[in-house]
Amino acid sequence: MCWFDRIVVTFSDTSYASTAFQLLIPDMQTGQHDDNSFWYHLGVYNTISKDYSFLYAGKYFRDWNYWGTSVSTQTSFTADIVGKAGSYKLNTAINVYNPSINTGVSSFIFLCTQWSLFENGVTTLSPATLALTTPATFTPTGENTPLGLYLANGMYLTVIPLTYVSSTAAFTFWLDRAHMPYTYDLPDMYLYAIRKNDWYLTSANSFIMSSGGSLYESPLQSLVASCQDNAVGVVNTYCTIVFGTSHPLLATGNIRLSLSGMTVATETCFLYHSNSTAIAVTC
Amino acid sequence: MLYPIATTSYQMTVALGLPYDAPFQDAMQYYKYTQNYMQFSIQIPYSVPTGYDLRLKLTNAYFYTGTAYINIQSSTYTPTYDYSVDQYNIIISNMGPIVVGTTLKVIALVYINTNTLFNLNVYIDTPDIIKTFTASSYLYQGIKDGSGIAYDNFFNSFWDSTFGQSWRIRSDTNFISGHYFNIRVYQNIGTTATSSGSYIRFYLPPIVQVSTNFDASTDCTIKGSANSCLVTIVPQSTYLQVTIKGSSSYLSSTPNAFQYQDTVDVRLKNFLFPLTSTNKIVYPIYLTLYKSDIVNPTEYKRTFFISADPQESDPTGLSLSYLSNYVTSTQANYQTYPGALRFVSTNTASMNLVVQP
Repeated sequence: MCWFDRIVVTFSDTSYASTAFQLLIPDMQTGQHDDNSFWYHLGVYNTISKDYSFLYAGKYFRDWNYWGTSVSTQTSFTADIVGKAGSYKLNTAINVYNPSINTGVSSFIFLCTQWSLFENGVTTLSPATLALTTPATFTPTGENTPLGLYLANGMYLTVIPLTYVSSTAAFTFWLDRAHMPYTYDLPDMYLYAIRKNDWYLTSANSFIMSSGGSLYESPLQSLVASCQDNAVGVVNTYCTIVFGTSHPLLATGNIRLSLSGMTVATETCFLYHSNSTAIAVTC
Repeated sequence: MLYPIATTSYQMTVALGLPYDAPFQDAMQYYKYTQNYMQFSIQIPYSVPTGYDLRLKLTNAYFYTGTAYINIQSSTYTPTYDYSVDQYNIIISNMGPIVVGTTLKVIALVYINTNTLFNLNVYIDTPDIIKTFTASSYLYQGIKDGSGIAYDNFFNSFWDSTFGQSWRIRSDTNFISGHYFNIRVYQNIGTTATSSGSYIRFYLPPIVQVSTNFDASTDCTIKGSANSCLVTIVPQSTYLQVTIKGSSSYLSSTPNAFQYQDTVDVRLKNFLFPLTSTNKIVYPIYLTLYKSDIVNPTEYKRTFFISADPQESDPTGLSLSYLSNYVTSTQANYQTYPGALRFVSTNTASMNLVVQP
């Protein structure tokens, strides 16, 4: 029976006819199957009948025994994810250690992170990265543009194309406006290099940092707490806590208030923007 | 447009059928415990305003996610399909207004998971009510039940000269010299299930074409033998029927062409699959193996579907690759070192396709 999964990508404008581009579809291969082949069909979409007609096809084939179940861990392959929670930080260093290189266009650095590190349209390669001439160069245009993707289960993938010009194992490049984590618990991160020619994963490292009891911090601005009636012993008053954020908050995050010296009703709470727009919350 | 107000539901007449309106005859049936392409016809008794959703719900059968197609043709509205995780439901949205008397047709790949009846329930209502799905009745609703027959074990595979043994056949706009497709029969029913004069018949969609130059003596072989076939081709508006019997010369040496546990390749040329498989263009194949050539012989039946795909013909500047070679069977590692399928276009001219009429 037909054992191909199908993904249909329909373009919403015609920029594909004027601009070089890449499509990335992340996945995980879960077995060494015979005849691993991937096909694309290129065609047109009929906007009336809502159906496709495909005109051309191409494939990529990798024999089943050219897949591996282990990664080559390099402890020098790191990323300096240091900064205020939720901030967009300049000059975030990615320290690559990759002893297995094919020179020429294109190799790739992958970062699989438990937060949105690379945000398309915001995060960029720094000027210092763009100025590199050795051992790798970066040309972030067209099909060689770095991309950030959402995977699933809260994981994100960043794919950065580069061109090795020499086989130097260690070098550093930088991201500008890389998004720092903004969760209470330090997130997990996986870094790896994909080699030109055979697209093999040649070097990797992982940082399993969750459940470590560490905290990314970011200061609140203009924090003010006041109650309608501040007298000792008063009951049935209400209190308001006003604060500003230095950096974006996690959309699905929680606000924890630790209050002492008072008894607080915990089943009723309200949250408003500064323009008095209510935000739906539970407490 | 007046919004319908009713104290009782508008009953929709629902019919279960086959793609291309093929009739239920011979091997063209539903089969239990296997994949079936089904066509659901839903008659609309009262005009449906814009913004209403259609929900299809199966019981004792389930949908294959991503396979549905509804015959709504509009320059304004593009239906969207939402498949439930349990695969029993599809919600179709953004259909636009539907005029009274319209027959909606939905094609989908379905697995019948019962020895008895399966049910299709259809509902139309506002998106919130359709999504919540807790109402006791809906503005429009209908139901139909159906069943499948058991399939028989006589079929091995279907392949062609372009893709090899991969259940795929080349689609093209012209007949291709030398191209063949192969039906591999493997009768595994029993030693006496077939006898002298056994033969096969299969049904393909009506869009499949047979060349006017088709010559059974050269365009059909059984086990590679020339002049081995007697072929009858009956094109109809809803199906293409092909019957293949051994020729008298072939049967003189091999009276039972489809013996027990014998691999038999039936190879045909000058057939054309003109359109690539999509959710709308599907290629179910229905096969019957007849025990012998007597009147009313015992029949064995089953269905499959094949994928018709274009031949590899990379336009300049387009390429596909898979980044990474890491594989893991440990679910905890699924999101550690994911790879990526990468399609690249560096030649915009290759992407600037001329729309076919």
